[in-house]
Amino acid sequence: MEITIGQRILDANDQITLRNKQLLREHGIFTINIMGSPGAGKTALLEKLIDKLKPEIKMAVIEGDLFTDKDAQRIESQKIPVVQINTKGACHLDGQMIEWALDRLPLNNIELLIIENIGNLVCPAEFDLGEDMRISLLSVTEGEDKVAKYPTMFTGVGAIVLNKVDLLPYTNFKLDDFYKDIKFLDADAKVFEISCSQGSGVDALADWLTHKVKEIKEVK
Amino acid sequence: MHEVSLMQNVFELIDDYSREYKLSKVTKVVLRIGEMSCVSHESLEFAFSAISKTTISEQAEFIIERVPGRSQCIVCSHEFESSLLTAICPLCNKPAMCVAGRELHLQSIEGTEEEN
Repeated sequence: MEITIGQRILDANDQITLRNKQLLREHGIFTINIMGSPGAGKTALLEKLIDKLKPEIKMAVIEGDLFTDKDAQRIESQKIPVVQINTKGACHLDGQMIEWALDRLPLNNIELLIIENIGNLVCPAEFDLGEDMRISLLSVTEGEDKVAKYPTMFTGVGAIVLNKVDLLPYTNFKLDDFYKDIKFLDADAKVFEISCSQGSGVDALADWLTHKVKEIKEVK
Repeated sequence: MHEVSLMQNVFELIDDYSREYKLSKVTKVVLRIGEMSCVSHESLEFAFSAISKTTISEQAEFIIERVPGRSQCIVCSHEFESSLLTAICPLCNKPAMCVAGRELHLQSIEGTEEEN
């Protein structure tokens, strides 16, 4: 007997993600999925953003890592709600993990939820987590060629953040090529040049995010 | 890298359908995988043979149908084969978006029914 199915393999993830999305919408929470390589500065960026945004916006964080709660501890020290997901080897977060994490967050008291995905430039791009916006983080030391080499990570994102720009003079990172590739792949993405260690550029990104959070609150 | 977890999802679907159609044995599993889906066929095959062990799919033939990438021009709607997420339309030189090639589908299964 042949059974024709034609179903998406990730259908189960899509269903859970849809539920998560509805839950987040009901609570008027703006959700961001931050993706990037290990060491690009995802957690450092989060720390800077929390500093800037915490006085004005109620934030929470979901931390994805293979092992350890080192990142969650860094975030927790800034006194905002954080849930750590340890995937124990899985290279991405999925809908089910987010559902588990949402169950552990005070949803009535959150305006901005930031999900820090697993450090990886391939797999996280394939899994919709129910976010309103994706942000891709690239650091200068990784090289500008990563945009063209890992296009799924830089397509359909709300913003592309280039970190460690203070190191530009010491590397052969070609800023022109970076902008050329981004314009080709994702002409609508906002681009922010920042340095987490120097603190530069973070204000512009924080202001832009504040604006986005307010937008969704008005819609609600 | 996520081929094993993808395959776990495939087996959940196979379980559901073989229960629904009362299959005692699955003899063939066909996936449709887009060429731009960042999934390695070799890893899928490995994951299939590993996960199918001691299940009713252990002896099943495992087939992957490749779906080539296609893009469509955002201006003139011309469709053409392309392995790029954002390509350039060969007719009008404007950007074209990927419309096929990212599929991850369980296409069909074959099996024998339980004897009553």
